[in-house]
Amino acid sequence: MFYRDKLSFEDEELKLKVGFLHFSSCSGCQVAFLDMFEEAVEILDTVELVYSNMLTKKRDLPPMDVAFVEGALCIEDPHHLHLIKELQKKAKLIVAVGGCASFGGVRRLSCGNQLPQPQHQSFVPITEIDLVKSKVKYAIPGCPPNPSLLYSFLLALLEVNEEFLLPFELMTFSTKVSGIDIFTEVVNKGFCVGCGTCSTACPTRAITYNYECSKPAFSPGLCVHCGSCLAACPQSFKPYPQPTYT
Amino acid sequence: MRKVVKLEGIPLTEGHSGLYLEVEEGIVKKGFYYALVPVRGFETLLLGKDSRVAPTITTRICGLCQVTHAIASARAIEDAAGIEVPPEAEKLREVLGLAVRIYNNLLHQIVVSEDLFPERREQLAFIREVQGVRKFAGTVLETIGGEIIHSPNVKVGGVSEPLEEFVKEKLLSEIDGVLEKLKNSFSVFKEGLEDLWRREGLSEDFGSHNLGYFATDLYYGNSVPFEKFTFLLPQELLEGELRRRVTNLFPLFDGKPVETGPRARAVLFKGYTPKGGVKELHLLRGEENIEALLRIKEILESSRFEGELWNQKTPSSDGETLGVGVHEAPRGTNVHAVKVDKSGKIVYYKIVVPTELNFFAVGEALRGIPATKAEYVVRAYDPCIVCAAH
Repeated sequence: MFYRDKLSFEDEELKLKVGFLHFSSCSGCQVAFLDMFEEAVEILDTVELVYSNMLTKKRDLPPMDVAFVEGALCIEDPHHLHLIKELQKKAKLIVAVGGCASFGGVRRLSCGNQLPQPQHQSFVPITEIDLVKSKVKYAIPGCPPNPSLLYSFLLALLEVNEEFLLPFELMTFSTKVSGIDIFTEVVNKGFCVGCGTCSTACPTRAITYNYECSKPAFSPGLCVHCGSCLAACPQSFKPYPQPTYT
Repeated sequence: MRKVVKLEGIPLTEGHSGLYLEVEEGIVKKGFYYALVPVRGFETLLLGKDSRVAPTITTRICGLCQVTHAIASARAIEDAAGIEVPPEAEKLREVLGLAVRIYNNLLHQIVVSEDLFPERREQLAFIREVQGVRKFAGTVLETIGGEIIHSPNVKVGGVSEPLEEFVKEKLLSEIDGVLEKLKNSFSVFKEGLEDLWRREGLSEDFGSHNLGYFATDLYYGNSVPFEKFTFLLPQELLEGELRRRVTNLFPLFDGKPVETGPRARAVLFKGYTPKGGVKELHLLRGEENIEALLRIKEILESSRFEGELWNQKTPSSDGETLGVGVHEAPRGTNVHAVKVDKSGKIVYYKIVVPTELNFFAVGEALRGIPATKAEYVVRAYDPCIVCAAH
């Protein structure tokens, strides 16, 4: 297992060291982890939470096995640049949680020019930063990701269930995340079967279901580019390696 | 001799913030509290957008008290465009606001539990108990608002989905059990708080100040004259490199710094006499949870929420009328102000969040306390830094 290397064996207890960082985001993804409610307590008990501004008293970033990162990096903020360098040194594996960290999300709409820091205008998702690109292995879509999805993801990570983790790995390379991509990638290519999964997955209800023609309908103004729809769509993984049946 | 201490990153609070302290013989003589997270520009990104999407986008300002921004935003646009909201929809929004109050105040209790319970086992037992109540608040948010975090059902003109009678009955049947749990966890919390105060040798009036209070309602929110707000830039208030780095504005109400939040609501609407000090903030927050749950029960029992709760009139105004939307968020009064043009596009947007208002109160409360204990004052105010640098 990736975290059971020499370093971890030297410690007395073999617990996965987990950290939670946030860049420019709303903290909702971190709260979504706590929204597993009773299960969240179990997880706090089984893994070792080594860093989180909200839940631990640490000021500096300690070495960690898995860093859950939410939010996009603001290039104009010196603290963020410092933090990403620290992250690159201290974390063995990075998981981008939520739309902002994975694909830009609602940060894609930001245009700066607001007091008192009008220069804060470029927000880059973690998956697109070359410095940490090799370490970002998984991206979890959603705004915020569903708590039960996060729970299953954590379980799969602990058990190294690669089959379950594969879609999240593929998500890190995906740039097609908005509702309009559902049309270009699925509907217009003739893959859509009208199952309605995208409309149930959409956290802003930008995608609704058109009963007249059994296809999704899309309101672009509401879309926050979180990637839920394409991650949920059973047909959107068509371009990716498909299982072969012999 | 006066020394300057700068702390960056306050653990057990939300977001990246800092403290500037002028210390003389270990006692703080002057203090400032400020945000250091980047400004995301919610006020500018909304310009030119269709006003109907504003609640969905502004709810993403904060992941802790999400729905308050959606409600304040929707109310502001309704005010600007003169849209009438079905009274039942307003009640349903009030329920959502109160549910998020419980959900968020308990989250704060979880966050500070590291301070209160030095023993890990005790802390986890407390978190488990609290999570049981948060689960109910989450269920209310999910069934009425559509999602727990970032509710999409709060729309300009009402609430997009009605609450079926049998779902309402199910929620009501759970409330009494939850109330019991809430009261139990609050008494455990109170014991932990007493322990902390004893352990750290803090006095009862630790962190007191004599600023005025600002609140608009006990539960939901009434209109405020928005022109009374003025804003100080960090450049006008701070010195040195902080002038460049601080990312929040410092709002004043009626030209004066004010405190908002649970204590302000209690003083202005319940006739509560403040004792001063930050300990009562923790206690009043806990009491608000119980009151909020009782109020949810009262609203759900007294009305039916079936049928159309959404006035789907297209918002349109002259581009000059300022619409003000107010919601009593967990941390205090949340105000959104908006101007909408003839085609329904947003031409002006301004947000004043409770944490922004409280920056001055935190600074004042720091005066006269030992510098080593400054973080306890900050935590008691439950600051939400991402909101402050929206």
